[in-house]
Amino acid sequence: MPTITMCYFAGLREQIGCNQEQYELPAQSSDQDILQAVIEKHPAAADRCSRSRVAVNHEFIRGKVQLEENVEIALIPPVSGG
Amino acid sequence: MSDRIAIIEGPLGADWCQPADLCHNAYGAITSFLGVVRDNHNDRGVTHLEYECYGDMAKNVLQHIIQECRDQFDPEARFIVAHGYGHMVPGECSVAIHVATAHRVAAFDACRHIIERIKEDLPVWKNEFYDDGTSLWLKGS
Repeated sequence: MPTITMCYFAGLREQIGCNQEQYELPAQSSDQDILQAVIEKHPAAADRCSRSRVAVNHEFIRGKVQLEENVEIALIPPVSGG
Repeated sequence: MSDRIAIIEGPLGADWCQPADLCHNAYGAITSFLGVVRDNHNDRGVTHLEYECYGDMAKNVLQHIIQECRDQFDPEARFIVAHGYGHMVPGECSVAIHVATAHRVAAFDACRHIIERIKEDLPVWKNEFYDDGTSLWLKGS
């Protein structure tokens, strides 16, 4: 299973307590699989995770994707730019 | 003439807040939108904001949004788009959008499209600090 870097931002980052962590995930994973992996590690953050989108290498994803070694994944909570 | 796209630490300076770089004989219309930090929100006094940003992805998202504008409104349009991050106080400019097109409708439509899509997808988060000492991460708007 590839090792990936998971990045957190804003309120989710504060709740989890760090900017990023390493995970081992199946090479074929969906956005829901990725969110579930984070929820299993941080159950207190389940609500924020469930409202977040997933980006792989700086692109939003939906459904299954192929994860390469050392890929960067980010959980994107509801944004508030502007 | 090329587009200017940037994610910048701190408030946007005067060079980002005017569209002079887009002035060209081929463009008959230029629209501009500036987002400015307010001193109040939901009847609470705002002392300052801290914008957090996923910088590498934010640049990608802005490029996607600009391509949407070219596809939907005017393939020849030119753009200046910048968003600041970090500490900002009321009155400072957090986002600047300038669009140049041949005709006015496309310039208005593209400018509006960019700010609305920024509100949906740009990975930037606003932490608002109030005059009672509390703060809150805002969720969309």
